[in-house]
Amino acid sequence: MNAKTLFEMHKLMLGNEVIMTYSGYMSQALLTSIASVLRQQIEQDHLSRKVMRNIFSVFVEQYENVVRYSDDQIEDQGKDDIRYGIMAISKKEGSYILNCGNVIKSKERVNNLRERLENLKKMSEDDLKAFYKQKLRSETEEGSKGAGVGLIEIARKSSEFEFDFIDLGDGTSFFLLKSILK
Amino acid sequence: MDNIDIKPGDRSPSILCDWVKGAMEIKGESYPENVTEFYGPILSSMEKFLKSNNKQNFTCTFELLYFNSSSAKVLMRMFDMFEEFSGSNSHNIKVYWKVDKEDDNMRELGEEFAEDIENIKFEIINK
Repeated sequence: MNAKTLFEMHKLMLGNEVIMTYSGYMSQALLTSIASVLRQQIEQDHLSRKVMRNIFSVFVEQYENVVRYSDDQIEDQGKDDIRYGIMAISKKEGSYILNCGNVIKSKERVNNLRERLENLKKMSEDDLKAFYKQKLRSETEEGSKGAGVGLIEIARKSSEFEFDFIDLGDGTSFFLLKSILK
Repeated sequence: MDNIDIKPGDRSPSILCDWVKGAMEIKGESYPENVTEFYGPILSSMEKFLKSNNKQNFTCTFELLYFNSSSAKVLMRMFDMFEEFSGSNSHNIKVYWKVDKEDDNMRELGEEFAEDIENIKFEIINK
């Protein structure tokens, strides 16, 4: 990529009011640094504690979702996961928009994730709360390295959320999750 | 049993626990890199203490600024453990959920846990 292309990307992001973006390999250690920068940025907007905490919360859960589940992974790097993903945070008319994306290789996992997210989308606030508590109490699901409650947390803290799976044609898909916080 | 004295990290809370006094305090941010590694030993010690003693006074104070969903799972585990052993081992367990008086959101998060608590005292206090 040449420098001009990078500048075009920069302009594209400015035009979309992107306040922060990251694309590349992500680790838990990197989260600590990015999170502290994000926190300083959102603190400048004088939002309520609830909105500020919700933005931070959705960011952390989205980030951890990529670090735990992206299928583009550097192998054998010890016990800590390093996985490829993309994140972008933008502002529009007073709302914060948090996006994350990563590759998923298995059709089965795509279908499973789609089903879970469609299910969450249908739930009312009370349903989500009950489901969240149920999941906090349940044993961690097989293949789930987190608490298995991250997606419910995202659904609860977002004003609205959308998702998409883009077929990459080689049997893999690109998963996108967009949260809007008002 | 050894007391616990964990200093706060960038994303993990400070944890102080004095078993003789029967007091534990968890304070700060909680989204540790590896929740199981961080909280596992504390949960084991807590369970051991509650299981091997009877009629103890135990006070647990939480003063959290943020916790992620994996940490929420640990908190739920702690509260369920308190509920269970306060019955079976006749402990007198109190939970204090300390919040900044202007932090309605953290108060709400505490209230959500309090909804499911029946056998122990769960009090939300303003700083």
